[in-house]
Amino acid sequence: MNVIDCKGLTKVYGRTKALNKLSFTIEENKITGLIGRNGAGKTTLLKIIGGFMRGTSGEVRVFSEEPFNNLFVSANVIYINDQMNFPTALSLKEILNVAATFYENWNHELANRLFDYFSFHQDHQYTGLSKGMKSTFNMIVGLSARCALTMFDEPTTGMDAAVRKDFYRALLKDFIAYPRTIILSSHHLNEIEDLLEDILLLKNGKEHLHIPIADLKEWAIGIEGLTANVNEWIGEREVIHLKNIGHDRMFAVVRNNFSEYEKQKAREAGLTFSPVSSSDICVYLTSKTKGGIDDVFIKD
Amino acid sequence: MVAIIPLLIIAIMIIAIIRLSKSGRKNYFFGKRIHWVFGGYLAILVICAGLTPLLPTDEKIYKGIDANVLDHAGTELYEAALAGNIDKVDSTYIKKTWNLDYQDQQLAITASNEEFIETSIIVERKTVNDGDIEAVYYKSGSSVNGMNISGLEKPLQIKVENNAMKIQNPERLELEFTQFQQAFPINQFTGKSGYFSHSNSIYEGNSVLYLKVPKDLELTASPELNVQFVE
Amino acid sequence: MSLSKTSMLDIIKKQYTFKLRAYMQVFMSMVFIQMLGILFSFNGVGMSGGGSNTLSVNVHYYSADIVVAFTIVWAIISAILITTQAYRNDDFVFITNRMSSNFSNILFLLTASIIGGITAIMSTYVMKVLMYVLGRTEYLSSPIAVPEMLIGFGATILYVFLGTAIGYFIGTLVQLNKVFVVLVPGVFIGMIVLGAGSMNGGFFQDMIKFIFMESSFALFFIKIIILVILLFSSSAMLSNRLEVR
Repeated sequence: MNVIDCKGLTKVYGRTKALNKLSFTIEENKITGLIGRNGAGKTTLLKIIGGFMRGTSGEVRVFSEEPFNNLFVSANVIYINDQMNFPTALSLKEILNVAATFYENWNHELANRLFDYFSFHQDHQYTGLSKGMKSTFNMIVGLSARCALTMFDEPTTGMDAAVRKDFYRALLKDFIAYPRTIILSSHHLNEIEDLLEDILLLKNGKEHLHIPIADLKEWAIGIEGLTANVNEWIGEREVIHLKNIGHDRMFAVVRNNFSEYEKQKAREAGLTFSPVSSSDICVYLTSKTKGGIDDVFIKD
Repeated sequence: MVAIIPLLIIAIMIIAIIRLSKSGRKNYFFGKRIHWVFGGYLAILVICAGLTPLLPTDEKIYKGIDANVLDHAGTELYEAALAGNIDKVDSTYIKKTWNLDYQDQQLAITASNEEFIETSIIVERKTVNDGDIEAVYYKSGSSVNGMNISGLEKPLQIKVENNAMKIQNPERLELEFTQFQQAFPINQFTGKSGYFSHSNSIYEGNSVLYLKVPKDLELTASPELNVQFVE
Repeated sequence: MSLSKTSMLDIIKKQYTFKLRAYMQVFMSMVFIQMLGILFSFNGVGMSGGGSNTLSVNVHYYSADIVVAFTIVWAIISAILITTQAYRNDDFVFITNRMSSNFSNILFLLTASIIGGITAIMSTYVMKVLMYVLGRTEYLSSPIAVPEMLIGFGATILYVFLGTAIGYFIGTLVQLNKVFVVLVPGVFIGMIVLGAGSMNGGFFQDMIKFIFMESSFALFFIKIIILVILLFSSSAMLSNRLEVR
C-alpha cells in the first residue's frame, strides 16, 4: 500500500503557487528525505499531508483517505516541527502523559528514558525551554508516538551537533525496532544521508527528483579542466553547475551518464572527474542559476 | 440603582482586561499552584456553606408577624380606646405610663414643635377631681418586612409646664438591616421581587395616648392634634 | 506495522479529560472573577429605605446577584478565548478533527458552567460568614427551601451555559473573519439603542424578556437548551472549514 499518494497537488497562497501540480507516492516503512530550498513548498506539503490544510486543487491520499479534518489520519500521522503548540498549562511530564493517552502505539518507557537522557525536568514548562531543548523534546514526542507516518520538519533547529547526532541515532534505532514510514525534511542533507532510503527533492513546488539515496550519489559528476575541453566533452549533456576557475579553467557538474570509455578518453584529454556530494547535488539542482554566488562578485 | 450600571461596565472592562492578559502564553499559574488555588476556593465555599446554619444567634431574630394581624390589632386598639375599654387591650401595647400631678384648672395640649403628631389622644374624664393626670402611651405592633419590631420602639415624649402639656414625637427609631436574598435566577421562578429592585414593607402600629384627667379640667387642644373624648 | 483505529467517542473523551487539565486558566479566572464579585457585593447589591417621622428603616440587600452576573460575563469571555488560535491549536498537537474538537470544547464549557453556576450561588454563604465576621449581624434570614436551592443551581448553570454558547459563537465568527470583532459589538449596541428608542422594545428587549421573565422552570430549561444547541451547532458548522497551525 502506498502510504501517501499525491496527484497534481496544487496549493495557491494569494498569488504564489506554493505547490504546483505535485505528484509522487511514498511507500510503506521507508525513511524519505524531503529536500528543497526554503520556499520550495516542503512545509506546505507536509501540512497538507498532515491534514492541517487543504490543497487548492489536485488530490492527496494518506492511507487511502483524504487527510483534512480526518480523525483516522490524525491518529496515524504525527507532524513535528518547530512550532509545536503544546498546552502551556501542562508541565513536560504531563505532556508526555497526555500524549500517551492519545497515541495507541505510544512507548512510554522509551519516552521516559529519552527524557532522562537529555536531562529534562519533570515540572518545567515547554515555553521555558531553549530552542534546542524544545526541538529535543519535540523529537522525543515524535519518536515515542510511533505513528505509522511520522513527519519531521526541520527537527534539528537549534540543536547542537552532539544532540543532532544522538537524534539521528535514536531515530534509526527506533525505526529498526519499530518500522514505520518516516519523512524527514532537513537542510543538513550531508548529516542525514546515512539514515535516508529515498529522497524527494522539491523545486518550485514541483517534484524535481524522487530517487533512492544510493542513486543520488551517482547521479552527477564533477569535471574540471581547460574550459574549451570541458565544453567539448559536455556537449549536449545536462549541466547542473558551472564555475570558472582562473582565466581558462572551468569546473562543471553534469549528469553522470558517461560510459567508462568516455571517461577514459576525457581523462586522456586532461579532464579530471570528481564525485559530488549528495548535498551539493541538491544545492545545484535547486538553485536558480547555473552559476553560484561567485557570480555576484564577478565584475564584468 | 442606576448607579450600578456604570459600575458594572467598569467592572466588566477590568475583568476583560485582566482575563485577556491571563490567557497570554506566559502562564504564571501552572502545575500545583492552580490546584491549590482552585481547591482552596472550593474548600472555602464548602466550609462557609457548612458554617452558615451554625452561625450563633448573636443576631437578633425578630419573630415573624403578619401585617394583616397588625392592621387588625391597630384598629382594635383605637376602637377600644374610644369606647373606654382601653384596659382590655394587650398589655404589651403599653409603652410608657406617666402619673402627673396637676392642680390647675386648665390644660392646653400642644405639640412641642412643628412636627405632625400621628398619635391619637384620647381623653377620659375621671369621676373625681384628684389633681392627677394619668397618661399612658399605647402602640400596637409594628413590623418591617415581616419582622416584629414592636419591642424597639420608643415612647412619646410628654412635658408639662406652664399650663401646657407639650407632646413630642418619640425619638426616631433608626433601624439598619442586612437582608439576604436569593439570587435573581431563583427569584425568577419563585415569583419574588424583580431584579435589582427591592421594596420594603413597613407597617407601623396605631398609637394612642390615653389620658385620664380630673373631672373638671378644662382642656384645649391645638387643632392639628387629634384629640377625642371617650363616650 | 498496524494502523490505529479510532472512534470519535474515544477521542472526544480523551480530549475532554486533557482539556480539563490544560485549560486550567479558565477556572483560575473564575475564582478571581467570583472573588471580585463578592468584593463588589460588600456594600450590598441594593438598598432601600423608608419609614415615617418616628421610624426610619434602611435595609441593605445582599445576594449573589453580582457574583452570578460576573460569572456569566466570565463564561462569555472564556468561551470566546477558547475559540482563539492558541487554544484551538492545542488540540491539533495530538489526535483530533474539527468535530471532536468542538464536542470536547462543548463538554468542557458545560463542566465549567456547572462549576461556575454552583460556586456563584454558594458565594452567598461566604458573604454571610463575612458579614458575621465583620459584625454586621442584624439580619433577616429567610430559610432556604431545598427545592429552591436546586432551582437556583439549575437556573444559574443554565444562564452560565448560555453565556458560553454565546461566547463560543462570537469567537467562532471572529475566527472566520476579523471583521466580526467590530461587527458584533456594533450590532449589539445598535440593537440596544434602537430598542431603547422604539415603544415596544425591539428585538433586544424582547430577547431579554423572553429569557429573564420566564417564570416556568420547565419552559426556561427548554428555551435555553434550544438556544444553546442552535449556537453551538452553528459554531461547529462554521468552524469546519478553518485551517490550523
